[in-house]
Amino acid sequence: MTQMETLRLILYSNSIDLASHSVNAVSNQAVGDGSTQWPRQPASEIAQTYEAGGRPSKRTSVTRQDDRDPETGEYNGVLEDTLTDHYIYSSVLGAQVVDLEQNGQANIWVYAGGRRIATAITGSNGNTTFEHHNPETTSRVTTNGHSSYRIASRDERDAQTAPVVLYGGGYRAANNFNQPLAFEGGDPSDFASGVTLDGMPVTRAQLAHDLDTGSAVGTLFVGGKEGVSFDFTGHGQLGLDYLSGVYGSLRIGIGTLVKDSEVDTRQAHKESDDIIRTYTEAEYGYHWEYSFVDVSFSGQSPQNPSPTPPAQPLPPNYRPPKPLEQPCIDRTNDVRRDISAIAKTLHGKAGALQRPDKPFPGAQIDPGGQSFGKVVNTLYKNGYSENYSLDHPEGWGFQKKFNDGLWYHVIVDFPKGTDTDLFGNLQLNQRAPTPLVTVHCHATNPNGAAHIIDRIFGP
Amino acid sequence: MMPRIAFVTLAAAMIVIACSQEQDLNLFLEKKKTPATFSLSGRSTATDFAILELPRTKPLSKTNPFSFTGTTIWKILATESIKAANWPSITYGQVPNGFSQTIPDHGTPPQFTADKLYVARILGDKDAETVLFFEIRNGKPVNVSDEVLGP
Repeated sequence: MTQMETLRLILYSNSIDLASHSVNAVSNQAVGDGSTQWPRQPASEIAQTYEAGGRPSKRTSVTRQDDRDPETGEYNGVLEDTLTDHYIYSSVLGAQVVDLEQNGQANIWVYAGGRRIATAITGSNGNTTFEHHNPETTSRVTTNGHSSYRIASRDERDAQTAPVVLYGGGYRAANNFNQPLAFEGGDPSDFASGVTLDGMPVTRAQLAHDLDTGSAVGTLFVGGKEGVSFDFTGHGQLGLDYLSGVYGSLRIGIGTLVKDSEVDTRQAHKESDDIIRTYTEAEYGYHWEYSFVDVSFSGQSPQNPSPTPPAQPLPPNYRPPKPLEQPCIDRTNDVRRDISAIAKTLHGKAGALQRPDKPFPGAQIDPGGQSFGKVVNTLYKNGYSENYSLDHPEGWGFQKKFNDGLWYHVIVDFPKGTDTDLFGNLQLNQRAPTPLVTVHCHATNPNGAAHIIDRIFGP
Repeated sequence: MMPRIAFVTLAAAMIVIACSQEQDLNLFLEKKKTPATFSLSGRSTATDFAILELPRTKPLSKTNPFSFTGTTIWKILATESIKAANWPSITYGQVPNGFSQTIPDHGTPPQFTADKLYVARILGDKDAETVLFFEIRNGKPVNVSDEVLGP
């Protein structure tokens, strides 16, 4: 079985040309009220063409947003903004000039070393502003002295003599509605190709930086819920390359030991509460079933790698992903009610509580001398199914999802003296009393992929 | 051949992970024994046994068995990790061979009283923990975990 899952970082649909360039990106977010006048359409569309050398030559971004009266909430329609960028390349230090045509006005943004170093507006009222970035304070100074400005040659990169600081940190380009949406800091020619972070397109340089500081993590969604988190703190660029498939595709294999269902005769158990049966390996063959989660990431390998800015502290609103089993820890009232109900169903009493304030909270249930077979039958009659994990060799595992969404894993301990014969077959006397039943809470299916992945990759 | 080797490796890794993660640490109050005597079972290893004192609530279910705080009145440590099933019976106030008492520093712990709720707690490896609630009724220790779990 192959199951495709996606990373949270993919929020754009991209079209790729024969040269593996991203030529069109359409956001999944839409605007419009669905009427004939204002049909639903993407909030952002980006089209890009490439020169013969493979570098981007022109980029057209269309951004749209719903316009509502701020006081009445009345829908006024869709505002649309079109922005065209022409990329012009200089051989000096790889500096690049971007010409932004917006509302009939041409702006010039000059990039070098992965940072914007100058802006200019053409026309009769035009001017040029140069930016000097301080990598320590992340502040910048702007000047108008463009007549004396020059980009340093390779011999002039000494910090004492270079006229312009080319390697700054911490700068973020403006990110307003009518400004270039696809760039959130860094070099715009290091195009993002569908890479977004929390819904916003982001350059590879910025994403690598955020991965490096830990303010961004790759998250694998399993069944629509957060499953595995890939934390690349301190290794941002490596993480981005890894997620981008530079080192090959990422595939997670999940193996589950499954009893052969065609010889499972225990379903006939309902005919009697105390039927005796000897379980043998012949009756219950096992086999492994494998499933795979292919982790895809629609980005491309870096085409214009930029220097990663120095690490910065996590933003104040950063919240790490919650542990998978947190619901069982937080919802103690539900867990108490459910375990109490299980004890009553089994005509037993809770004898002790297990793992308080920890993952998989549960309880010991004193079965009061009931036979193993009777307890097993009671579980079957009440809708429990088998659990196939090897976590509890002390007994037989069952599981059930309760109406509140929590799962419970019940283990019926084998009677004392249960052993295996010379051939390894379990010699089980179902009429003998089970000494103990234990139960514990799972936030996800105990047989499911999310639980298995969490146990392998989780804390 | 390579996929088969990968599968076998994966299977072996999963079995190892599976067998090493979920606890099997059980605690029992032995019946009709005074002072209170406890026994353990399970394959988890354990090192730390304690008795905690809590204010008694009415009803007992007002105490949250999964989140509570209490005062430790007696605590003993095994000098080495012992599989729960191999622990000796633990009688309140008596330190078995191979164990050391850390609370109180010296002497015997206080007598149980009828107006308190007590918790026997065993800690094991890999965060294994089991707690048993009991109180003194007619001079004898009685397991009230089911009443604390409620209703």
